[in-house]
Amino acid sequence: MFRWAKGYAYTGKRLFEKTVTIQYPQQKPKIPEGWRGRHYFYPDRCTACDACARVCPTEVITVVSHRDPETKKKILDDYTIEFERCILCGYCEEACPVDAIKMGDVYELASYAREQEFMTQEKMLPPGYSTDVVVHGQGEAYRGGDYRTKPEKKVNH
Amino acid sequence: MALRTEELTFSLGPQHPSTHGVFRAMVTIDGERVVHVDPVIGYLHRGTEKIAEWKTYPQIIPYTDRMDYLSAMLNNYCHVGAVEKLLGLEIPEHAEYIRIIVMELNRIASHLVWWGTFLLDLGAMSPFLYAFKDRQVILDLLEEISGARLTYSYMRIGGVKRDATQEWLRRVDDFMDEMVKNIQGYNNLVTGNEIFQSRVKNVGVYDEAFAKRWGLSGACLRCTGNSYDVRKSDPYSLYPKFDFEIPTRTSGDVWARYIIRIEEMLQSIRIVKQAIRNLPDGPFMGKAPRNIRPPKGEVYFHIESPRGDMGCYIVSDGSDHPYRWHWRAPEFANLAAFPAITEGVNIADMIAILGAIDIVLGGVDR
Ligand code: SF4
Ligand code: SF4
Repeated sequence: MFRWAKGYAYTGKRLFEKTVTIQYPQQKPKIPEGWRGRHYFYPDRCTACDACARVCPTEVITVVSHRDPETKKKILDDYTIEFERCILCGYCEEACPVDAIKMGDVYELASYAREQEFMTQEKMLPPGYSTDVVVHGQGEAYRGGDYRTKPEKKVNH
Repeated sequence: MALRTEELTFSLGPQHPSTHGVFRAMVTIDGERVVHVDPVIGYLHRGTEKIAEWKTYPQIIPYTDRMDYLSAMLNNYCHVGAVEKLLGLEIPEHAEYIRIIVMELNRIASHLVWWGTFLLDLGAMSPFLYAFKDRQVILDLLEEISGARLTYSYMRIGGVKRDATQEWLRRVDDFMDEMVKNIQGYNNLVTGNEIFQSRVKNVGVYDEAFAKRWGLSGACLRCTGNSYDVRKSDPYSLYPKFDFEIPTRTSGDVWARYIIRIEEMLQSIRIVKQAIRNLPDGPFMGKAPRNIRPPKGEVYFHIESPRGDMGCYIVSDGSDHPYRWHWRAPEFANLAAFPAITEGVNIADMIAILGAIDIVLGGVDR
């Protein structure tokens, strides 16, 4: 008969609980360590080993590099991420042997145009880095997916 | 003799609040009675199975997150478990325990969404808010350990991505105590309510033979008295070490499915608490090869997802990506029975039945 009173009582009990939501634009969420937000890229650390591009599931990382004719070492020329298609999986961060690409804490990812979603080195610079470390050169581009078995090989079974 | 009127066909969805996602049902009604329902699916089809053929085994993990987005941890595990079975990998106990903790947490979160939205369909607004409040706490916990709120990608072939800290485990433990109290509150608020009970009792009744014929699983099967749960019937991971029960009911109606899911949450809490108590020390990542190239062959691995029997079938050709990768989505099979259950019921009951199936369209369409 007085079932409804039980419902009201429950609502009343929980009415003054601590909230779990926050007043977003005024209050910023606390980002836990290891959270996967937009990348930070450290051009000075990168050895152009292509590991991140190889492991990326959506094949959005392009590493441009050339080989130094004397030392035979690879030198980074450019590094871009087509961020529109990035799924923030964090594989690139895990693959990188020198921590040159890190998942950051940027979560406000909306933009007005698709072009703005294209991440150049400048846009991915970590806080406190000056643009001096950014490199722009002509080299051979490498992008994930290139290493995969060719389709002809795969079909015949 | 019921009065017959002219039949009317209308479309429920694709974006109707009670269709949970993008699901369309062509409903033919005669007055208040449903004559025929024609489900139209595929709005969320992304071709994951085909994409997977072009990805290496670890690269498939983020794609599984996006299928049944309410239980991404379990999807991760299903794929990872299949690859591990194919490789014959040994997983450290510590990693397996952490996996069980996060999977059961995810199961509770998924059931909470179901609980909230199901009652929302029935016209109750406030349970939804309570459910999402509790779910938010779980999602925050999972976010902290995995790095993302829904698309966890937390499992790795051979272990998990990161270790759980003591502090995190303590907070999970505390929240589980709170959750038990909250579920009692839910029962107070909704389960005992006469109006609610009269809306769900004896609605959408079917028997065990029907459920088996349609290949139903999860709560949709257990409401008919069958106690099939992959965790017990075909144990995987370390579930045999845990002490928990499979709730079943025999009435086969929406009410039974409701009660089973509520009880399942309590059982999941039990499992999480046991896992935290008995968590052994050890590495969180086993010895997995760097390039994962399973031997030629095929494997089927299935687990109990919040919605039923979820399976992953992999055909390997010995290369680093699968030759064929197939997913058995329980919600797809459960949804297939929807027209058969709803024949001749009221429109309002149809919504209750659809809600009780607990569909997640990301999983249905893949
Ligand atoms: S986060 Fe994932 S999808 Fe995004 S660039 Fe890194 S590897 Fe690619
Ligand atoms: S894995 Fe690291 S070092 Fe190698 S190319 Fe990518 S960012 Fe540079």
